[in-house]
Amino acid sequence: MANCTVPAHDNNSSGDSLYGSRACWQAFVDWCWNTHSFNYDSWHNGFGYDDCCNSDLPLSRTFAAFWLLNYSADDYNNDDYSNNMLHWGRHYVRDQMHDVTARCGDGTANATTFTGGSNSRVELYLPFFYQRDVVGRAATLVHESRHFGGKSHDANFPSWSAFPVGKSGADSSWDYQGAWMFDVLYLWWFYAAGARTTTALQQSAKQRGNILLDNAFASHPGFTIT
Amino acid sequence: MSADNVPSPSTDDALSHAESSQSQAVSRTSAAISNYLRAAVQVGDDAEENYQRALADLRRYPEAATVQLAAAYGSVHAHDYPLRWALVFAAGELKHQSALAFLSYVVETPIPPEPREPSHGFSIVGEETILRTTAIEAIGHLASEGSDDAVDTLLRALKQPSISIRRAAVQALRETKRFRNLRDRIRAELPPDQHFLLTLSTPRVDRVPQVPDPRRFLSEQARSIETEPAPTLPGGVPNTRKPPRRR
Repeated sequence: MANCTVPAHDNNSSGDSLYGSRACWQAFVDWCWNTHSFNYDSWHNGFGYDDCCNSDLPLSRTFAAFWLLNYSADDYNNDDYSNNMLHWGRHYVRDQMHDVTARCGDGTANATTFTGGSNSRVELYLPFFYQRDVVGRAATLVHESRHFGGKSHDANFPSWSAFPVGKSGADSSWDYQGAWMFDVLYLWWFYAAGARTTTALQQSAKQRGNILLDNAFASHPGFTIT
Repeated sequence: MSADNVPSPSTDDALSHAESSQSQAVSRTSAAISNYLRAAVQVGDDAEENYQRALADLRRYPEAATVQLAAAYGSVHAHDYPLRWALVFAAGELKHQSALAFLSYVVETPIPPEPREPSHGFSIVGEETILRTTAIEAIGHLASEGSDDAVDTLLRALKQPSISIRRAAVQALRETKRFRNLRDRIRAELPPDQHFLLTLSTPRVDRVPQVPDPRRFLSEQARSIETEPAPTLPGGVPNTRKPPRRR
């Protein structure tokens, strides 16, 4: 068992004041908790189970990310897989992500997905809760869902990367259609067409998407978001 | 990263509150900045009006606003990236020459090293880089409006080791009237293996390769389960917020 402390954070700039209050809606809380089979035990001990509308706590901040993921297409109910990713992203995550678990982590990861056995799950860590804004968290949910879908990273970070050069964790290319591509594509669609959101969060999505395009692919995709 | 057959931990973690975990930096800034940061995350029928009013308040005394934004930036916890980003974004929204010194400071402050090697998805260097590319985009606006100092800052940014900072600087310089004359100099500043930054395309999102039939990428277990969509929103959730006027 690890112990950790809520770090400094500002709920306005992260979008939690806005999205946290939206997600504080019993029908949504029930749906989200059950559909993604949140790990009951892990969300106690300060992570927010008893106070799920408290935007200072991880559970509310996770619900906020799921809310954004589910309602950011103008016609959000049209989430057929034939539509664009702003629409089907929520469908994919809903179909794929389960056993959502809260952990302190060691500060080096947002999240990790464990697959393949009876204990398959996604673990979310403090940087996910407090060092990403709401759209950054939503994109992480998309990213991790791709791992649930069976796709691991297949390349090392290139020589120019901001991430550990030469270490595994990159995707070889955009066409590999891995977790980084899913991550960026969701951010990009949110930037371009996200609804019920703010310009600041859309701009944040654009900046994050560009950083990933530059640094997370062994072969640069050759385009940038403007 | 994904891992196979990893057993579940036998105990659960515990999270406790520091005495005050809500950032104090904003409370020490002026009402104008606090109002702006609040308005920037509003949605609803009057959100745009509120945002423009808050932005106008901030722009009324841009020099003072810049000083306060810079002071707040300096006092924010280093790892509170959403707030630091909001302060840089606000400085950019001033669209005023007085913000250049602060924005340049953000860009030119060396990126701190990772305290520990990132394992999956979270990188201090990545988050710090996002702050700087956001500042560069704002400097790019000043450069496109004819500020030679802003152009000089962008040219200096090309010397930085970060590919993203270079990429953002190249994109910003492309939007200036001086780009044609500067192109050879920009190319000379870039490492040869990054000359491609000059030829990056800027497509719309619907013009890049998408994911055809994403169902193919569902796990076998996921394909076998029919999930219920999220509940329909209750009335009263604002549909959209008109974006603030952009440059």
